[in-house]
Amino acid sequence: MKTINDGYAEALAELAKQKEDIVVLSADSAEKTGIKQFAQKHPNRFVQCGKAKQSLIGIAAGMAMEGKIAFANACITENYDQLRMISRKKLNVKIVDADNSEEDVAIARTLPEMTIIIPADYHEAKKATIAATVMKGPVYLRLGKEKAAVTTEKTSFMIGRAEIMRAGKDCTIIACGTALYEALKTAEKLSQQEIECTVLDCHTIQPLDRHAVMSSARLTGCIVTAEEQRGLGPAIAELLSQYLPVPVRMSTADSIAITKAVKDAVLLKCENICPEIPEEHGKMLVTEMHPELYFKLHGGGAIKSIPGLKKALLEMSNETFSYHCNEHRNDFSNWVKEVFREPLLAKQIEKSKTPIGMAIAITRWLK
Amino acid sequence: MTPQLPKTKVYKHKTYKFYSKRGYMDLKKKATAVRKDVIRMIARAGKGHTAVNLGSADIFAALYFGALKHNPRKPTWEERDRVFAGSQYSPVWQTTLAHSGYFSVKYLFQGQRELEAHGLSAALGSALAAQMDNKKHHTYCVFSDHELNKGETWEVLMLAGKHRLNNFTLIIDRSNIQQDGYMEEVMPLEPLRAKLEAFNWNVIEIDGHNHEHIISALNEARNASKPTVIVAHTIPGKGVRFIENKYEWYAKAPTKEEENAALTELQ
Repeated sequence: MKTINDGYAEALAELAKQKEDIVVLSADSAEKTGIKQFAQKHPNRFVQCGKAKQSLIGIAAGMAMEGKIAFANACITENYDQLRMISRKKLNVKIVDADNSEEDVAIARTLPEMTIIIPADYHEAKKATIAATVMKGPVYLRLGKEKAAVTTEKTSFMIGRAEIMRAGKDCTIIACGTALYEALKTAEKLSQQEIECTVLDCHTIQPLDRHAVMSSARLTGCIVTAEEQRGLGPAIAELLSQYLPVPVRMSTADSIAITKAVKDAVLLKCENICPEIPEEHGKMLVTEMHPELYFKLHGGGAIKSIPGLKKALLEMSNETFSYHCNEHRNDFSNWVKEVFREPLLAKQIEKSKTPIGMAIAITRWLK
Repeated sequence: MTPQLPKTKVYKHKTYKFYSKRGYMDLKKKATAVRKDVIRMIARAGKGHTAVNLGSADIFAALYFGALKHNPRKPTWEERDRVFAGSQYSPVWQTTLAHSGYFSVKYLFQGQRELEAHGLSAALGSALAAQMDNKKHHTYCVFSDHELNKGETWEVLMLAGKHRLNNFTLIIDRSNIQQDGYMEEVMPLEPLRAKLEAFNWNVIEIDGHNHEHIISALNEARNASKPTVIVAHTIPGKGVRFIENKYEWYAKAPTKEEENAALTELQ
């Protein structure tokens, strides 16, 4: 079976052929992360720094300033100061961590500009590496140690968008990394006991897919997080305690622990211990998406959210509108369908052919 | 790296002949003008590293008005030489940039602005990337001797020796003071020369206030086959007698009276 590291290494080998800008730095971890192949094929684009993990991140920052895409293979528990520089200046450095300490995601979460991705298996690691290379800005990629069972072979991948792996109405399990497989297995078991769970693959922890998390929380009424480190649970709790206080239970990647947490959360929901869910549907839609998921307008400018789309439609020139929406295609409808996964709204947008008609459809839906 | 600030008046930038006496006299005048603005700037901001900024004014003047290949009209020119410096050099660096024509001097006094300041490791990364692409520009890094207390610095010194980065020059401002006292008391560095040579660097020791020495050392560094480190022995607070060689002035800003006294002394 192929490991998560293999996915990263294979994607990197493919990308290196296409992109001359890619450089790889290693903190004596070429063997561990599987980049020996890259080092042999492109010796002039490979920097071996030894165990010097502090200067490695600084050197990667300097290379990114010169226009390189720097893949820094190092753990981040030693070099917070250098990471701050990368985050503040939004440098194009991709930090790949295969050391797997428990605290690393919690550390990375304190850096506001850092995009944090935790792939679940070989396929997702491959997709994530490609997406991270295309994206501009700092990325923290955490590669799990264990041989993860394949779960995401057929799903699509977008940075900043959580995948719905399974649908149910009683509880939502949000998982990332190698915990995803356990979460799916537990959900199957629980469905025999008449508890139907939604399972979200939340591979991007920062920025969180707020839309998916909030709409799922609204539908199921309680949330369980499953992860092997510390980072996803706090992120979800931070979001929900502000906008949608539903019962949240944090769990490890262990099947027994997840089962216990789900039962706990569902009981809490039924006892109605937590306050009523506020009817603020509009509020959650105001939340912005990851910059990678913005709708880029033809004439320049970007749309960040669904209310933003409504506003932009009303101000749009005919030229721009006919570029995005004509006989052959309807970009707005596709965007709503793909990024927000709201098929009903997308259908209504597709039906109406004018900007005002679309705006009316959005207004109705927001209510 | 150069800051992206609104362009106003562009000062005329002379090219100095390094072998004429007049060129060095001009450099000296420029350094004094930079020192005055540094004093004004730190006094206005109410904080800053007064002593090291005054002490390194000659180095920055020699770089920007002498050795550096750059064009203030084109701050993002691809072939320009790269300069990195420690964050405490922000006032003297900004002032030198303003005097060499990157932006107007009046911007210096309009509130505080943090210049992009990077560590030595970022400077080395930039030089390494240039070496990979066979680019011809040179990378300079000015930093203080107390940075040599840090482990990260020695990591970088080791790596530069390994890659034989001859497009990289490190200028150590050997001011011999730090916040808590004199360097040799807080954390002794000597024998510094032997240490640096052992890391496979080309070491040049100079008087950090003699422009002739600085320029000739910078020229020598450009043609070396190894990474070069210039150990510039400077007097912290040079030019103002009550600041000179006093570690108390390491991170202290002058008051209004002290500012006036310093400015009259620098005339």
